[in-house]
Amino acid sequence: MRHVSKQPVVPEPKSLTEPVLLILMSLADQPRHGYALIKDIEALSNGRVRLSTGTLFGAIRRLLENGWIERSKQQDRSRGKQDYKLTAEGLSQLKSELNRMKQLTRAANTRLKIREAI
Amino acid sequence: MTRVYKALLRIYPQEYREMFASEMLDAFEDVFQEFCLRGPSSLLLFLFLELVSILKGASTEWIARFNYSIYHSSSYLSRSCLPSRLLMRPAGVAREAYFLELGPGKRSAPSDYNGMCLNVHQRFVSASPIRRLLMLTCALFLPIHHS
Repeated sequence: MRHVSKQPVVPEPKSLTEPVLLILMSLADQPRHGYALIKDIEALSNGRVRLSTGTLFGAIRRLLENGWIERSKQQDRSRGKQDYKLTAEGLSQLKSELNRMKQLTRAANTRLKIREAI
Repeated sequence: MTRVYKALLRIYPQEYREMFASEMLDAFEDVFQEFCLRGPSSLLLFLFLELVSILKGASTEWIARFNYSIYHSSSYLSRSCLPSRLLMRPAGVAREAYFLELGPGKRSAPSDYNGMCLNVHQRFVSASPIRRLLMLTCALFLPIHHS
């Protein structure tokens, strides 16, 4: 009988969409609710990105489904606001995305240096 | 304006509304108050973008829900979803002999690239988004005649 060693299939990391990346970045330091996320993302992107509520909560739904974020148990009871926080899976996704971006930046810088040297 | 927004949220699927409607409304109220102070042109732009995002988000959620219901449909168990005889060539029966028995002109059983037969649901799920839209449009507007 021929033995075939099964190699674990490692999925290729997909690049995240900008709203998803910004939401993960915003939740990296502390849990936030919807409006706080909108404000923080605007600040993070220097006013370039302002997520609408439809886009924000659509992305939040997908992130919850993937298990990258979860609803925080602490919430502002006065207005029923729900905080979201990053899970371990979400943190690892954010780190791998940042590594991917670093690699891209490095490659782009190398090319630019070559161009400037010519 | 909050009432209008609340009414617009009804176009989302019910499960989504139960989960997020109050939070969306809450966030909208906060952002709306902020834009009221910025002037009418900013406010109008904000309202337009909100409307577009709700329409886009709701259609995305409905499509996701429809896909989910197809994947988890119990109609596979019911007779309505069984493939037609064209798709049910028994093992060991030659293709030519089987289609000859069914009659002339009945050789167009849909199949995937590996020659496997597909039923309607599988064809829908494996189709591209544009093709899905076309299939849905045809299903809505074109009558289906069962022979």
